[in-house]
Amino acid sequence: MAIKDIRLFPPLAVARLGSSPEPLENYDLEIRDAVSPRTIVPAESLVLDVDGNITRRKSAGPVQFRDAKGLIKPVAPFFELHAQLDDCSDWVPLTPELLRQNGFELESVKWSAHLGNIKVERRTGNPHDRMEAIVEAFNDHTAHLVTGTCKNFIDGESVPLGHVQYARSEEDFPGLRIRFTPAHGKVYGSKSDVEDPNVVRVVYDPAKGCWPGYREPGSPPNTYEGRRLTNPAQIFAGYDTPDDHISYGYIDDECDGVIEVQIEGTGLSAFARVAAGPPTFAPDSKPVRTVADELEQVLRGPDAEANDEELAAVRDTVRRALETVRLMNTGQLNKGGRTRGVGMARMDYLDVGRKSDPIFDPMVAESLAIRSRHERVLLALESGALAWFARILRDYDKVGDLTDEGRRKMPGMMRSADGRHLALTRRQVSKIKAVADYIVKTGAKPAVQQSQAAGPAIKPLNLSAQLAFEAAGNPPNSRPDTAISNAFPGLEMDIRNVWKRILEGLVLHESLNFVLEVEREDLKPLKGMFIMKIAGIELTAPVTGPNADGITGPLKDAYGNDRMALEWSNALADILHEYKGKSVHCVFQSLDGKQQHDKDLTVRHFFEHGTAVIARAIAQPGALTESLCAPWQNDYRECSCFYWAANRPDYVNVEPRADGTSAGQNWMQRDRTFDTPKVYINDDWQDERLLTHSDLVQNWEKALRFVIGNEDEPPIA
Amino acid sequence: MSSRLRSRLVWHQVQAPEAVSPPGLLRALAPPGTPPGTPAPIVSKEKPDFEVPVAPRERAIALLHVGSEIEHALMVQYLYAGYSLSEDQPDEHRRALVKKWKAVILEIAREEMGHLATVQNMLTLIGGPLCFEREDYPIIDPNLWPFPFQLEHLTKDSLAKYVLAEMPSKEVLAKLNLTEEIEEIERRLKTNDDLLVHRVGAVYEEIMLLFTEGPMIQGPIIHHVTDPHPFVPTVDIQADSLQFQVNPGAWGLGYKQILIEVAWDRTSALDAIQKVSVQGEGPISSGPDMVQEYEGSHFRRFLDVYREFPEEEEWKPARHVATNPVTNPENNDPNRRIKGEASCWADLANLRYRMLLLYLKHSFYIESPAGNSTPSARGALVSWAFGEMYNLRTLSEVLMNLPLQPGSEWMAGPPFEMPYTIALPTRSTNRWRAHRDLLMASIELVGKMLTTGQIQEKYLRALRAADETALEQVNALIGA
Repeated sequence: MAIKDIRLFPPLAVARLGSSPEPLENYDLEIRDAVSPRTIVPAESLVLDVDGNITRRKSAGPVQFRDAKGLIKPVAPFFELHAQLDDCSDWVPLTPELLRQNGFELESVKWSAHLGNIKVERRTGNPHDRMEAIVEAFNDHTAHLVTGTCKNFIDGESVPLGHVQYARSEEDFPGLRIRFTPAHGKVYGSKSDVEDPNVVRVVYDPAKGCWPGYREPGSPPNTYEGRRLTNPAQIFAGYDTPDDHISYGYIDDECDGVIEVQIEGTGLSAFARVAAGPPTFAPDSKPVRTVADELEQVLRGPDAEANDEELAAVRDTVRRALETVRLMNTGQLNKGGRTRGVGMARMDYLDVGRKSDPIFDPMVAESLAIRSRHERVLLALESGALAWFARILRDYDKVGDLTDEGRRKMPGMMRSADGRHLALTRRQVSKIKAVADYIVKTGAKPAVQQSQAAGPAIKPLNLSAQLAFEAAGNPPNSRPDTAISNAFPGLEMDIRNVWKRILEGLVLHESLNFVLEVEREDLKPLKGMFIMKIAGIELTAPVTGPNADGITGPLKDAYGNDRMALEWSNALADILHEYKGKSVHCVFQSLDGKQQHDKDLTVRHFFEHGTAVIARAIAQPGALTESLCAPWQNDYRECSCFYWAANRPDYVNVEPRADGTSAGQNWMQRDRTFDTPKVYINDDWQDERLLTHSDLVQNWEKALRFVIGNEDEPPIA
Repeated sequence: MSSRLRSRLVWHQVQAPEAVSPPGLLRALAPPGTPPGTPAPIVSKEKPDFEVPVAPRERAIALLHVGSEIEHALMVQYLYAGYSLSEDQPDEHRRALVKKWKAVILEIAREEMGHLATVQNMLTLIGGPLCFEREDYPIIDPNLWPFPFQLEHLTKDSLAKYVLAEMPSKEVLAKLNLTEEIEEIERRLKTNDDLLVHRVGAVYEEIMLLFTEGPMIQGPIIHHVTDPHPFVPTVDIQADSLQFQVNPGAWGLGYKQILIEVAWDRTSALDAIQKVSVQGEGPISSGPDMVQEYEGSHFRRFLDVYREFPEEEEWKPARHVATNPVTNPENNDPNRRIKGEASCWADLANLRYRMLLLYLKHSFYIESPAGNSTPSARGALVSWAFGEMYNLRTLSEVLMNLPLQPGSEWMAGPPFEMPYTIALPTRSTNRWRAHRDLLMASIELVGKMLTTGQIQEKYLRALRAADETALEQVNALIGA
């Protein structure tokens, strides 16, 4: 029974920031009925002590997301080592006994980690602004600090990014596992003459780099420098001048990267990925489109066939939509207008000059009405009717349709990774359409349990099962299906970054069909060009709708373009599925449209060969988080609720009013007590009644409150 | 027909003139440049009328009630027929056909709901009372309907009825080269069921005429050209009623598929009625849009299904469901009375049907400023009505998979029995109390069903949870 290969499961886990010394316990999300909120119930947790000993514990509940001091408990995922033996194709937990049977001692197992936070480098373009943390190979059981260092830091300074700890194998718990515990969610600053209460420590040396004072213009030019900026741009802490947004030089302690393991003497090694982001503030809810949906599309392609498993997945998607709208003030988001805090109608106006109309008839866009409508769709799905819902989903290549009808497609009133109205992944849409037919034929059946943790073995070819692997003790919010993927720019990670290196030799923009960098001499002419087609597939879509005068036709962005870049995930779904490892013909065009280049390039394998881990060549440590807000708190303050309400709620303490509408409060409202009048304050960062940037940077753990079962957490002392 | 007008409504046989200009509206709809004396594009051979004198506005109201009840009845019958289709077929070809037919028929039923809403809008426009009634058993005079009301599984004969009810005028049929085929269908129905089907379109033609101003006559009347006709006075057409009318933006979340028209003057009213008519029967005249209008019509879609549909002795696309099932304990017909396991599901279906009708009706009582719609309780009613349509689909599926009675060879079906009343109370809070009472009744009924271990337990639990949420909202509206 020789060990053929090893894997670390799950291939991707989400860690979540928090300064409590006690990690979040494990829990289950139980579904009582189709429309009520999921119920959080305690599940068996693994407690890891300072010596690496593991004990099992299951609390009596309710699950506490804070400790006694009010500090948020971090989500610290475990990774389990599995092996494939030569007499079996299944993956089984690797144990000391199994190692010994193969002639290896436990000491031969060596762990290491390589994480990064390259947010600053993504802005400045200076490789010396890259913060990385390398934990060299170890096999002891103490906690190993993950310490971020950077060439442009003050000498001797660093940023703590968390720690990794190898758990001891116990007799009744023989598997091998490692845990990553993320950082506290602190913000660090740059050396300055002025003391800054927002930062816990000064680490960056402005004499070495330009991060403090780095500026991005409000109206970027149509040049390489203008186009290379993140999308959205200016999403870092700073101040505004009439023309520019200028950085304060803040650095946060989010990170992403790889956890690695090798068995010395065998040549066997494996790695998994982790990304550290903010907590899920509505942990009984899930976003409607998640990183798990993106990865599944890559793995299985854009087209789905209907079966009982997919029926369960569709149920979950519709439920997630309900969970999202439950936390959104849809009446507010539906409004036309130009003021902050209004949703996509405002964006359509600002971005492409679309007439500023409400999206839906305001009468039916009220939160309770929308929620009720979603409840009925779920109810219908429970019994077998989905055709209507399937018909009104937005197609990925129609996101530029800003006519009344186009904007009313589902999901409604939310923003997507390309900045326009949200479309689901093509596979999600395909599933829903297929399942709509399927349930007509077969009748709806009870929900299928999606957990893959029921048995110890994982079938070798079932990479989907590997992606969804639930490691013992890991809470649900450590899984990719709780990480949002309508990333603009994202929260736990900006999943758009996984597409940047999909073509060998090129580094693409995460949010634009634009070549940021080239990695080969022969590709130099392509730098700074648009990539228009890959294998004949268009990467842009027309933008149409009524202009300010109400005349429907092409709508142009600030550069005069009436086409928009489609988000990579959906645009490349066919290409990845059909051409991975193969050469494809690509067409490029200069920014002014006057020059065109053609080039054959090879499509990279998205996953490391034979695994469900995002390949090393696809994303270097730090790449998954590089274009997120810096610090991440800016995302909570500036991006309103039309992105990802399930993780960043918007509308809380909602109750019906006597006039048939709803009353409730903005989740960002400072004063939210039982006695506070239920008046929603428009989400405007300039309104002092709402949390400010400084509130969030200095005191986010207590300022932001969990919403569970539609109940708002009381103020934290 | 529930309204007492049924005793006054008759179908007159009228002779089409050989070569005359169409009356006012029809002339207006004629293609530009149509010279006087052109053969009339449409003149019914049959028209609904009243036995006693009725003023034009009331005549329009009465005919709109007729239209409303017809649309309501058609919707229910089409739903029943559509749900009766079973995709449990032995081969893929048949499965695909059944799936296609089911989609077509349920889509048409959904559009009938839009027609029903449009008719209510027209009633609102001229200040008439709303009409969500429908004939219930026993059917007193089957000939007052386009065809006798019958909840039945889909057959070639029932499709023949639907085709004839939705067909355009004889003249348009001739232009479409369909005369022979339609006559064959008529002969089939006459032979098989001794049935004469009335055209629904004839009702709308009469309504359109009532919304069309009569000709200005400054001299002698020229017969068949300047014939005066009764029409609704302009003063009775109320533009400010728009805020009480429902619109597709609210009902269909703004998707184009649902045709719900609003009106604020004579022209928009005529346009609305014409659109409803065209979506049903296709072209009302042989104009340039004739083929396009024909393609999208209910008539064409039913005709397509009819052509493909097998005879009874070939294969059976529909389940063996009962005809006109009832819950009424006084009815002991073993082929109609629902008993046993299906009984509580039928009660639940009747209850949800009633809730749907009340939500629809109530929504017209709540003002929504025209052009500046604002959130209101109407939004909740619309969402709930939307949900009841889904519930009825679910309950129909359940019922059609349960025996009509223990041991019966027939399957049950949704009885769609009309409640004792769908009148709404005068005071606003009492209207919400009516909804509250029905929600409470449903919660109680579902609770009982759950204790007896019903199929579809998950659905029932979710339905109860959704009702409890709605009840909370209704209580707030009552002020409880």
